[in-house]
Amino acid sequence: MKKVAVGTFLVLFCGGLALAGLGQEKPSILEIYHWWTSGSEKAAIEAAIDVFLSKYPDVTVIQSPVAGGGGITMRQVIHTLMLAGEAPDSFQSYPFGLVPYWQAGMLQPIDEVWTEEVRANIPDVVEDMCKMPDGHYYAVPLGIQQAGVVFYNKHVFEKYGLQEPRTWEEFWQICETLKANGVDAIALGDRNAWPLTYIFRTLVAAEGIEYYEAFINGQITAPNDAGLLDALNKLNRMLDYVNSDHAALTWDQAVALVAKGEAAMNIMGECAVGELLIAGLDYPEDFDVFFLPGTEDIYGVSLDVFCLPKGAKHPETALKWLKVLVTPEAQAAFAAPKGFIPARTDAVLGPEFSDYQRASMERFKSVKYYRPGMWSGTPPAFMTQLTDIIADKIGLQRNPAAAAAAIAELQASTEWPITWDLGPKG
Amino acid sequence: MAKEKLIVGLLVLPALVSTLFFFYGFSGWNLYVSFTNWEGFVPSYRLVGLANYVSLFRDPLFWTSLKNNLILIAIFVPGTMLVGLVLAILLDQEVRGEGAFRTIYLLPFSLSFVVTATLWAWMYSPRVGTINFLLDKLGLGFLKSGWITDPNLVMYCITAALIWQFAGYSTVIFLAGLRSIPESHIKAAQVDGASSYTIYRRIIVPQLKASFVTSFIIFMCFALKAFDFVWVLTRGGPGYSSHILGVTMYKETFGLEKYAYGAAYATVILIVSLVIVVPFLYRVYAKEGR
Repeated sequence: MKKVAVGTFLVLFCGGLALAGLGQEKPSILEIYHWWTSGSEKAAIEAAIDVFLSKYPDVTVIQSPVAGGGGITMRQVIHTLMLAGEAPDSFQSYPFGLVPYWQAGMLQPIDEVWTEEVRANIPDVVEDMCKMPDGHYYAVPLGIQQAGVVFYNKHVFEKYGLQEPRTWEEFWQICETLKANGVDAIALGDRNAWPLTYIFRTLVAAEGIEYYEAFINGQITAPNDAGLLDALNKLNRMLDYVNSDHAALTWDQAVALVAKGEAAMNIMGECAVGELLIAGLDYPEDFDVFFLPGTEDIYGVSLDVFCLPKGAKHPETALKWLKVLVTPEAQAAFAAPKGFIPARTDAVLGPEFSDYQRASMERFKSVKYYRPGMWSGTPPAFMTQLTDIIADKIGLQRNPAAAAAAIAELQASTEWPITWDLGPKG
Repeated sequence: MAKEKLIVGLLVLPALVSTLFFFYGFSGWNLYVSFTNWEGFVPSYRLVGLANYVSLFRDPLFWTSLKNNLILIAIFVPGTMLVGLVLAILLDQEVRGEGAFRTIYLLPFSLSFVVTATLWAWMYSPRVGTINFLLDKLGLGFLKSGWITDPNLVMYCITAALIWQFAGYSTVIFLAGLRSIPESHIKAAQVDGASSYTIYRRIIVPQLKASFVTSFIIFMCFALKAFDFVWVLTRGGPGYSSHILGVTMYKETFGLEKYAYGAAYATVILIVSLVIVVPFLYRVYAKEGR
């Protein structure tokens, strides 16, 4: 009797599952992967999806967010899916992260998404970051953040009668004045190593756009290269003016020091803006920005992109998704909550955009040169090793010459699949 | 009889198959990969013999990681066992609220490593951390230090935090061992006029051998595998001063995408574990003729 009951239950259960499976056949599905799981990030991707759904209301969007800053966890997940032939319809990446997939022939070119109208309204460097060496487009941009910005606490500057520096002498003078008054000039939180390398990357840009181009093309292979030693010496000197507990703080704890007025400046990307705003500071009354001497004409582009893998189960829907993403509405909808700026220069910045974002957009449209942020523009293996070298040889050993030798060797031994051309364009 | 054996066999079969497949199978695959040249996204199974192992032994980072790991083992394993033993002896005194104490001691172990590592990172923070703050308040300001920001102290800081986390688990193991010693042995020794110290040294501690062996193996294997705690606390920094084998293996494999090299690391870690644990087990059990 018991066996009959159990058997019947099992049959009904399996039958029910099968029926449910049949009933769920929805032709319009879009499966996307991303790593935007925290508050403002989540709001941003939901806004972009809302724009998509307003045009294609019958599509079911399945999001598979994988938490882990910078997408380290998601990269592994996507690696596995791509190798197994189970690629999602689209996924988020930073531009250089797509290179290995392109080399393995796992991405679909999406030239049809990049129409005349799209190309006319997106700066050339962003276009280049969405192309592969074969000249075809493989990605669309979503969310531009500026890299290499110096945020400073205005009240601290006013207290000691300081002005935004226009030369390096003025910058070091500011640091000296603050140090003499017992204030940490620069806030640094390099417990996770990368924030120190972040400053180095900005210093490389300060050596000039041609130098930066040579660096991200792997051409700085001489250990006594003047530009390399100059950047490293400046980085080493900056460590004389940072908070003493920098190795115990994370980057956002360092930004908090600036917010509280315990430190004056912080060199970071625009993710710091969110932290300052949350701490209750206003732009430009409480905090303002300037750019390191040498980088005033350059806009550092940190970019996230979406692509179309081969073997995606719903490629037409995915193409629709990508086409919606490059419209001004979607760009603006995504950028507002996250503190980004839209990749399209013709996007309208509605009232939900902060004053800071408007200022950043103005700079984006008016600056002379653009550079891809090093994280977006160089092989991940190079960045990982560069971070280790800086953390060890500068952070710990304070030895610029040793760092220069190690970096030059790394430049020579890395493979550089993409050659950047950052010459002056529109 | 045969039917019983069949049923037992069938019940054990799933566990056996999964262990063979997921553990031995994948370990074997890992060993195979360590002999290939797989680097980067697309797998490559071209055999290159012992090249990865040769690079490994020539890599100064490997020796630094091994040294740091050995420091961890040398202090963490005996430290945790000792703390556990002392706490177990104290708990065994039949104090009131023993259950409550046991729960309190065991609590840290139930917390995730990520949570405790983050907490310890805050506590160790030189400027605003509780440790330096308390030292100041107790008038011991001269003991203040950079803790995890000091490359000479960082491994010891990590070890101390790990001993804290595992102390409760160790206590439970030794408490179980203490409780299993027959009362009659102790009573007999007391009747013969033995001091407390002698009772512990001659009767109790030797009978805790099973607990010693269990805890030794568990803590040794943990110390060799430790990764998440160190990663969250220091990311292997400052510089390379808190890189242990697990941390370096992770960075090589997933940071630099050198899968074959990372596989070689994993195999070396396995061999180091076996080299330590197997002779120990052999010595302990060979005497009993098991």
